[in-house]
Amino acid sequence: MIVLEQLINGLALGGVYALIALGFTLIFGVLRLFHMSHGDVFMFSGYLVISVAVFGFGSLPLPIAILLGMAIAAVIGMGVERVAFRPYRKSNEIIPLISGIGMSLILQNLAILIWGPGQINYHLESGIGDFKLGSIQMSGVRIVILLACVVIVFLFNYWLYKTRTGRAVRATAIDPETASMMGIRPTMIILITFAVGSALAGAATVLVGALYGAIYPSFGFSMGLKAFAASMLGGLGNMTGAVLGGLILGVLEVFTAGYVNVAYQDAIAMTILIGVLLIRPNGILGKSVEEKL
Amino acid sequence: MKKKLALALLLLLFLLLPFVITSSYVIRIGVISCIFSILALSLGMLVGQIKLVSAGHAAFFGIGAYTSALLTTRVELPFLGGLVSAILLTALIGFLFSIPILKLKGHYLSVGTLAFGIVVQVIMLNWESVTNGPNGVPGVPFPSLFGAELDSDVKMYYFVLVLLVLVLLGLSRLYRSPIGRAFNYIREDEVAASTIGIRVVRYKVLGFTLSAGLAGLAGSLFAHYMAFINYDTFSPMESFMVLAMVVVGGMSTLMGPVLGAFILSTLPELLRDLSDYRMLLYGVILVLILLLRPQGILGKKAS
Repeated sequence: MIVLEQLINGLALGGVYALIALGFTLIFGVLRLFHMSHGDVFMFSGYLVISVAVFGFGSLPLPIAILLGMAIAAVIGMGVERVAFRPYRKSNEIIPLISGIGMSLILQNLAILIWGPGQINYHLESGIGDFKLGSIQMSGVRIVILLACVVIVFLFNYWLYKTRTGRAVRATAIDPETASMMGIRPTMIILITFAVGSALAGAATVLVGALYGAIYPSFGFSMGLKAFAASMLGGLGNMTGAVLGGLILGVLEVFTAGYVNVAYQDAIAMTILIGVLLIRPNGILGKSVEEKL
Repeated sequence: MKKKLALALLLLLFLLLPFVITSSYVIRIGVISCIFSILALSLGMLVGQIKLVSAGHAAFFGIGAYTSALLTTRVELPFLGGLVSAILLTALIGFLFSIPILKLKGHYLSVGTLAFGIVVQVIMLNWESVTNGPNGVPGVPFPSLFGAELDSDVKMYYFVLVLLVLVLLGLSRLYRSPIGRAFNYIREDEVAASTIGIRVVRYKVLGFTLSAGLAGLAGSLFAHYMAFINYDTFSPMESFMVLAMVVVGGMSTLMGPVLGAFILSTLPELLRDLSDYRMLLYGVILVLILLLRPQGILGKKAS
């Protein structure tokens, strides 16, 4: 039954990866660029939530903390778009990549300046204790995280496929020129894309906080890489793929750590990523976006 | 002609530098900048000439550094043996890696190389019996050439400066040769290049192999100059910083990566007095340079 427990642990971690990957892949889908500071937006909002929730109020109920995280991250995301990406909308793809890295350095070092370079430990109340189901020991926090991820992914899907704004975002992703001829304002859409994509990371930062109860300035960079790997695994620009990639990555990591060696947790995920890329270069569900011929 | 004169004057300036400024601190920054110039040039060949954006170049830098460091400390191979082995081994790994990875295009290639970089770093950290794990390899000997020990910053400075000039001369010849022209055709339009008979994959593999070997050279120099290496230096962030050097300097020019490497290696030192704000300002300046000159400092405006 330990396998089942591990599976739940993996899915909870994977759910968090999925949220970050979903934002990452949404931004990639619309702008065709790698948002290299996405992980740092995640990290920075995490610190802000902790400052408000834990050090300000003492504690906040999880749903409120999630909403707070989403709002904070959305604002930071829009700021990052304005400073690091808007100027390069028409230029070579590698320049926004580097500019994103500059932004990543700025956010990381700003976090070091404000909160110090070390790890901060804190506690976010999930509201549910651990419980037993037959012979399976269920971790309450992980169930809550998993449920929260499902709800957020569901709401995100509703937004993207059923609302006017969501449709406009998808139209821009598919064909920016035609979309703008139809009266959709690209600048606005891109800003919304960043706001929503970052908000997903903002939700993830609260959930991962409930999971680990610790944060440090370089946390974002490593989580960003994971999300990046997850979205690649599923297929870049593919929303279902991002969720699937996140879940697969989370489960793989937990199983590697549990049954092989904690040290190889990161490496195995990356090795499998390389493998997938070689067998299906566009990810599990991806279609080629690079070649139009 | 004007350009050549300017370059000659610049070289003279660099040759005279240790006579004008005796501060070993400044010379140290010079050595590091030269080593990173070679690394940036090797990545510049991929990114600027063939348009292969590799995001895992620190891996080749690291493999070169570890090869040279381990061979000279454990097997007690002389420096030159370590250096040559580092170049050959990284070139070989670059060659073997390029065959599968070059099936990927554009963004997917960047991701594949990034993943490669992460895997290599994890191996460096965890293969303790060989790499000594997180403790790294201490006591890497100074380079010695035909009996002469390069045991001072100034001697090392001249050595890496000469190597840098040799690499530059070699690359400038390469870029003007049929190989370099083939690279540029591939950069501009791969499909068109293949229709006029350029074997695209072969040239890409060649470029990747040469580039990896050159990164291995830089890695070896780095290990012998720093005397100590560990996995920490060869991180994905480092790969991105090298990429930043190439882009900031101007990616499709010969001298661009060198300028980028000098700026981005010197900048953190110039900002050292600002201690806490140093890396923050570094990020701000990086973003600002791109804002003011998106094509890179030496790059020409796209028409």
